[in-house]
Amino acid sequence: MGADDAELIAGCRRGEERAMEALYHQYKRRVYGLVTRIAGPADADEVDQEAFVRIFRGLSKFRGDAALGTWIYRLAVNAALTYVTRRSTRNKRTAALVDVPAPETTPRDPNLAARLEDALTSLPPGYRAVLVLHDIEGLSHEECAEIMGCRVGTSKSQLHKARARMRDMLGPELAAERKHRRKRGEG
Amino acid sequence: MRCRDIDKLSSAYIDGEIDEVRARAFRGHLHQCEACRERVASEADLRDACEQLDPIDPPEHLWRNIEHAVARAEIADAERPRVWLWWQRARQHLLPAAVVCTAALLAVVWWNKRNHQDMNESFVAAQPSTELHATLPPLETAVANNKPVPTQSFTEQRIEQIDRADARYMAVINELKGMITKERKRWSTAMGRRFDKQLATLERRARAQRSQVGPPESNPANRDELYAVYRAQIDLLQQASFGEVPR
Repeated sequence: MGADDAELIAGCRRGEERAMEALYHQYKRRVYGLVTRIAGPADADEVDQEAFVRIFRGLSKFRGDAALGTWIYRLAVNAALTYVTRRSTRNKRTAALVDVPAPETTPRDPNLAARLEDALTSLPPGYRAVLVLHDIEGLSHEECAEIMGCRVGTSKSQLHKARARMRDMLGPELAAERKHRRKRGEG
Repeated sequence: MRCRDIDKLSSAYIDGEIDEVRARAFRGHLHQCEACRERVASEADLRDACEQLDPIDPPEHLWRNIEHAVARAEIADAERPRVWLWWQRARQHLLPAAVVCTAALLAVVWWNKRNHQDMNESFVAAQPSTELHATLPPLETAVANNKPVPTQSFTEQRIEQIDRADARYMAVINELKGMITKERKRWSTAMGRRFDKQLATLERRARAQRSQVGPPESNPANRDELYAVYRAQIDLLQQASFGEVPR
């Protein structure tokens, strides 16, 4: 943990607004991206807010055993996964009470990035979290395992399965993109 | 390497996590198998696409919402009962306290167990041996064997003990006299006379004491004088057995 982080943490513990805002700005993009991709864009604001409340209130218990970034990621992932679990339970309960047919899936964007974001929401939450942490946020398996509270082997195996599912979902788009790239390369 | 191996290793290969030997075999299979080649290329493209995804900026108003949410949570804390605040502070020490209590409990259990074991060992050591059992009179044997004790009054028990003590003194005195009968052949005449005289005096005193205290049932309490005479007789006989008779 660097001296800047230590000062920031000390300031947040004292309840200094400036320190809290600085911490927020330092991690806002990463946390927001993470929770948006795990919980979905519709609920991202709510989950992000919940994650930061947990972070600020939990800082008094942060002992510096892990890096501050890793600790913040862990709280954000936990907040997002808790939210997703709660939402799916709520949805199941609603479905049981009201027998309404599920809405049709949203039409897919031809743009690959948008398709990718869309496909991400179809993954199970655990796979989604490890894919976001490893492939999008660029963390190592060791960091992923620490954040997710699992073994490195579990993180690797979950990522492998997540990629296989994504590949199955995006296979045609990825192949088309590859062909297009080759043509451009040949041209 | 086969297609199913490629399927298992594709992720690790893309991340550069497999060793060079397997990586070469992996590439060798890709040269031959178009389906695997496409699959691995798709997975690599997927990872690249993930890496190139744009970061998502949170909306501007979110910080204000977070500030408000933190403030609301702190207000809720202020409204909680004081016991809750105490509990929040105390529960940080709960785990260490639980560890210390468990250790103390284990130590007490171990100490108790050890003490109990020691007591058992000393109890076993205090048990009379089988040989001793055989020599014990019926009363002690009965107690030692945990058999029902014959019902006797205190006086009856006392008389029995006195009879037994008298019998033991007499047995010792007679045994020593038997030993001295052999030894006195080596003594001088003067020494023999002196011994006989002293022994006769002590026997007279013993007889006088016996007649004075009477039979055990009449006066079972005061026999100390009689036993002192018996002990004096035994001392004399012991000294004489070593060839020494006091003048």
